[in-house]
Amino acid sequence: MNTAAPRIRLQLPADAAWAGLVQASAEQAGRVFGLDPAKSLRLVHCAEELLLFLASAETGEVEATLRPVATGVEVGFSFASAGVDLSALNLASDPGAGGEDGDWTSLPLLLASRMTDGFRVGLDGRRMEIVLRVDKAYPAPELLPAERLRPQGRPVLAEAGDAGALFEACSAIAGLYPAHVAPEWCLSPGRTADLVRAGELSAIEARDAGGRLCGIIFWRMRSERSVTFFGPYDFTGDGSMAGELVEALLRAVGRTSARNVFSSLATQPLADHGFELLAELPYLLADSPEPVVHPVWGRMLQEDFGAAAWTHEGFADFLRDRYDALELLRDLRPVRDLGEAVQAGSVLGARLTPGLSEVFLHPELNGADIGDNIARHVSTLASAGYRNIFFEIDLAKGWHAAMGGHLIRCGFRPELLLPLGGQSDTLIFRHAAES
Amino acid sequence: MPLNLEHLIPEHIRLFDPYRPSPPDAELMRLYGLKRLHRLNNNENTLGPSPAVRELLAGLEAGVIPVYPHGDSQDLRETLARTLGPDRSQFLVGNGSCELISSVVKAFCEPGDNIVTADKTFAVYEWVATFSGVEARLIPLDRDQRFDPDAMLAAVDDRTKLAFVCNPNNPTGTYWDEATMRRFLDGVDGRCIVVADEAYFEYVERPDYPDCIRLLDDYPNLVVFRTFSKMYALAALRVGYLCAGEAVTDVIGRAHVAYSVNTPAQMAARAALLDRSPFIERTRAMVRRGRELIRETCEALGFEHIIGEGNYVMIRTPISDTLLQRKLLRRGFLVRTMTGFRFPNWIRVSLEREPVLREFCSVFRSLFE
Repeated sequence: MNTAAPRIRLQLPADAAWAGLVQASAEQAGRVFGLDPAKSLRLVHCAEELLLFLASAETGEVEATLRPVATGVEVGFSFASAGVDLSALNLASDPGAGGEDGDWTSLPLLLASRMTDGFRVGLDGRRMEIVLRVDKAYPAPELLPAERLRPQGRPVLAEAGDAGALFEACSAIAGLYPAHVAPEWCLSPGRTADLVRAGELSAIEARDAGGRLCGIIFWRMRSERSVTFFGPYDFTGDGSMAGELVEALLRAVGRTSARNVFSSLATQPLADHGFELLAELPYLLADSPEPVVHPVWGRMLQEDFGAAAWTHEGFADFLRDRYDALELLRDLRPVRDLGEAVQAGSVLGARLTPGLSEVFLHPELNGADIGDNIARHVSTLASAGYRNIFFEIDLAKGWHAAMGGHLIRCGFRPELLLPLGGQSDTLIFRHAAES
Repeated sequence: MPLNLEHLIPEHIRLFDPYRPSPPDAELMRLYGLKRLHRLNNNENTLGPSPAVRELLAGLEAGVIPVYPHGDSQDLRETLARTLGPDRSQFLVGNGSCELISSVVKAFCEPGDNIVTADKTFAVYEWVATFSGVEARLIPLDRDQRFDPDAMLAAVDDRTKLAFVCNPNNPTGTYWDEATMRRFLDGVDGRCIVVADEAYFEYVERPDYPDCIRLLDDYPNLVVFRTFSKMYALAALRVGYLCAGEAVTDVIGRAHVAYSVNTPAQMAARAALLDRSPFIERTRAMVRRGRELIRETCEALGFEHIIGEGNYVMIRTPISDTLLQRKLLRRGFLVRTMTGFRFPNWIRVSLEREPVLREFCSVFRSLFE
């Protein structure tokens, strides 16, 4: 039985002579997997530029993979790493910074990274993988008018998956809630429907006897062990649906692999539903002189019998306080400088949400320049107007924790601990602009 | 060469989340710096095992260990037959009820089939179905927290092979009386196998609670599960059994692994059945007292609670069940969180000896007063 999703695989030498094959494959995959001609062309360029980069880096044999994902198509190359410098993938990369003496070998990678809608880098033993994603172009339909309603009879809760129903929900959220608690994908109902169809996003809606939408809550897996949710969005006039939606969320995720659930965008206090307030993050928005506060509510879904977590003196006290407050048992292991060699160029991933003026940075690859790289990213993002800059690390990884000193020096402060938010606990730093 | 498992794993296995048992007691006590740990999370009977079983185990000779056990637990099945009535060919013994659940699903289901059970019940029915590629149709409990017979009947279709009824239900302790059980079996009308899981049978003292083994002659599609892990306190030995019509037992036996129940387990189970000491009555008295203590505590705190049959109760708390579990563990008590049973912010507490439960109630109250 073939259990894998459809995908195209090519094994070939990293040689510019094979660019035509890669281009043709990407073009056809883009078309078959649902991209429009303009987006297909982007995919073609991404694939071609990646191959040219790997050819210039002389990586030898590579495996290229094209596969459909919820909102578009991914192209990935995996190869045996031998210190390949991927730093051009950084948002703040500038290979021409050295003028005519700049390192232009990374230019194809830079070009590819700028044509994508997202990327990730993985290192598995000595094998490295670069994956770029090109999203479909979604129309932005005029949203339906929305108003608060009084339910007829007792509303019934059910999974939401129909594109029309999701369009209705997106419209109601946009119409009835402030923009800063509306997920960005709500502005693109087609994208929302694709995410739900692919199982990357889940939703439970409430409808009354008249079939009218009374509320909805969305959630998605943040990692293999954590769920993050958006809402509850309650469209009734008396706020009678929110509690039931939260309970339905807990029932839905309670018997899954998720061990923790927390809010990405919470619409109301959730202490009455067994959630703990993990942080209150003030957000500086472009259209508001005063910050809006984003509370983060969370709770464990399963029993937690303790674990180990890497720590750094720069945030050890914060961790101890949070673990005590959450009654979590953790064996804190301080990182130490072992003097091991790391490659020169680090890579940081970035998830941008312009509507919230928000950026989440995370380490993809370690490198000797990690401190400078973080500082470059902060400078670039601040110049671009981003006012809420976060950096998250996974405390399962010693090299993540070892970045604590760099982060503190760059003006980041620990603000939010998400138990089991990643492979292990996730610690989120916020950049303090005044520092 | 890197191992790529992705194309080898069926989707229902890839998506399945394995059960994670809690660490051993010694490890938990070390981690939490505890001098003693009371497990109130597994519905074990710490009064046990019964005197006859203790005596047997104390005198167990090492010579039984190098020899394979009876592959089909013949002596134990003979004792079950003499004690309970049906012929020994109607009994099948397994390595705990969980193995029997797996055998029943393997015997009757193939991909595309479904099972019908409740959403808030013992998770293993759903788990075994799911990792076998079989749809689990989960029917909400009714407003009295009981299995809903009409909704279950409505969910049965021509691909339904099994209906699991946990009676009394774990974790709510609610049960179907004989009239309800018969009405359900009549409604099924032989279209699928009905499993009545009576893991807590020996704890129920209600006169209208059915002994489903006595219904087997009327309903040839009925399978009854029982276990030695609960009342008989043989949890560490892992031994359970099913009883059904001979034809049904024969089919399940084809999918069942022989030799899965070890010799000490078979011997101890026989001894437990034959023990005429007041062990069971003492256990029932302990459970009745435990229910009173929990009821008093919950009423004093104003906490919602469900006290039904079985040696366990449920309590709704104003904080998350998982946070409460951690707070209690730091104080030496391990309880079961109920979010995984789809009861968010409830805990299940096993009814233990009175001194232990008194201490538990005292600690529990101190967390909220």
